Amino acid sequence: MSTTLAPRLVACVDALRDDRPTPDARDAAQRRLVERLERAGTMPRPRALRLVGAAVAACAVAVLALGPLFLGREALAFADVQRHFLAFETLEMTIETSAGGAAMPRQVVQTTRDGRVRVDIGSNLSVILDTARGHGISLLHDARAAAPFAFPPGGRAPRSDGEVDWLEELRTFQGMAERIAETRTIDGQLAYGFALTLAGQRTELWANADGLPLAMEIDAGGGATLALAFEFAFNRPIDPALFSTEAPPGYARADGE
Amino acid sequence: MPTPDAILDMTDTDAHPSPAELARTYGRQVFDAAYRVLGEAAAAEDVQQDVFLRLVESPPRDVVSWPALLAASAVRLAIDRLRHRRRWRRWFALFGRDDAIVPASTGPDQNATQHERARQLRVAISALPAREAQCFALRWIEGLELAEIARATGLRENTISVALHRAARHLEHRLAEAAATTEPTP
Repeated sequence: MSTTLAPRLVACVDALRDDRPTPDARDAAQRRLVERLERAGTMPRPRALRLVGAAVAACAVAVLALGPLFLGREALAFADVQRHFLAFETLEMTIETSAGGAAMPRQVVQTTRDGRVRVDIGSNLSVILDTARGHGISLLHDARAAAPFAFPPGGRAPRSDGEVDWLEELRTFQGMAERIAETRTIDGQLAYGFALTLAGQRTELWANADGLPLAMEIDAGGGATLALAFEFAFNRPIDPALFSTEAPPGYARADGE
Repeated sequence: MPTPDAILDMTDTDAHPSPAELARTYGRQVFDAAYRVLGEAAAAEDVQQDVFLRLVESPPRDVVSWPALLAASAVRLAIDRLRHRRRWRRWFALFGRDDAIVPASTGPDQNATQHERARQLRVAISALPAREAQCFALRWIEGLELAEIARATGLRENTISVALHRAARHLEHRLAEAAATTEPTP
């Protein structure tokens, strides 16, 4: 190890290099890798075959796009589902999260077409954003504390690495959303599922026959038993007072960011 | 099947080995490289498969060193996952559950101090900018020389040197912070 690294860092690097997988895990992974490559075909497809593949894919897209005209509701296309996230007046999402089998506080996200957002996390924390004006406020209900903050009007709210970009990815998603063969009943409605990858996570999005999204499940993986289950409600009236970025009566004002 | 040395010496003028051949020869090394970054076998296996399936979909050209290229690919994908995991950890920290995504210990006989050091370094690496993290992992964890990293990543050696310097300073700072919060005061 070079002397350019501090001793503490050298010790950590050595520890990390010494952290090895078990031989069984290594061998099993290698076996599955070889099997998967055999299934995938190990040679790149010739150009002619790629063109055929592209033509087939284009036809498939056309069939999906035109499907509702000819095939009725059974041919629900992912674009039908996606458009609800592109053009809504209001959207309310209830998010149930569990990690390692333990339930996390429920989150409720309410947002409007003009860029007002309210996030309630459990019963104690709310964050409200007015993106048009560049105002935001965090409310700690137990402590009766309010922390206003500002960000560039018309821009995005202050970001952190904790922000989850799945909604933006979903709105702009142009990849392959695979139809799930089974159906579910959600809120009394027959629901059709799509499997896709958003932000590197396997996601299942469920919608009714009109393409109205009803629920979504995200498997965050990463070695954790982490799952998020969403329920959606589009275009329900929401009390405008819920989006106020003024401190509520009785709340002490704290310094914001 | 070509030997590792034969593959190491292959250039673009030679026939490319197939992804299956590369997987048989280097699959375990790719798994190990991903594991060292992630500390978890299931995630390392996902990265390992991703590395070789990408070779099937878009074979690289002008490969001077397959081991270096594969190591760079594995490290880059593993760091992407590590950084993604960090985002979730920060989210869970809001609820006091930042332990929810820390990988489990990999064996009962593993030295606890060593395991903790490795864990702290992974956490610190996940907070680095992606380029710094990749350069650091390739240089100090995978043991590649600057020239090999340059060929495998397409970065200039000067750029890599700067990234390595910054990464080391950032990591030393973060590890010192971590130690201050875990070590008892004298």
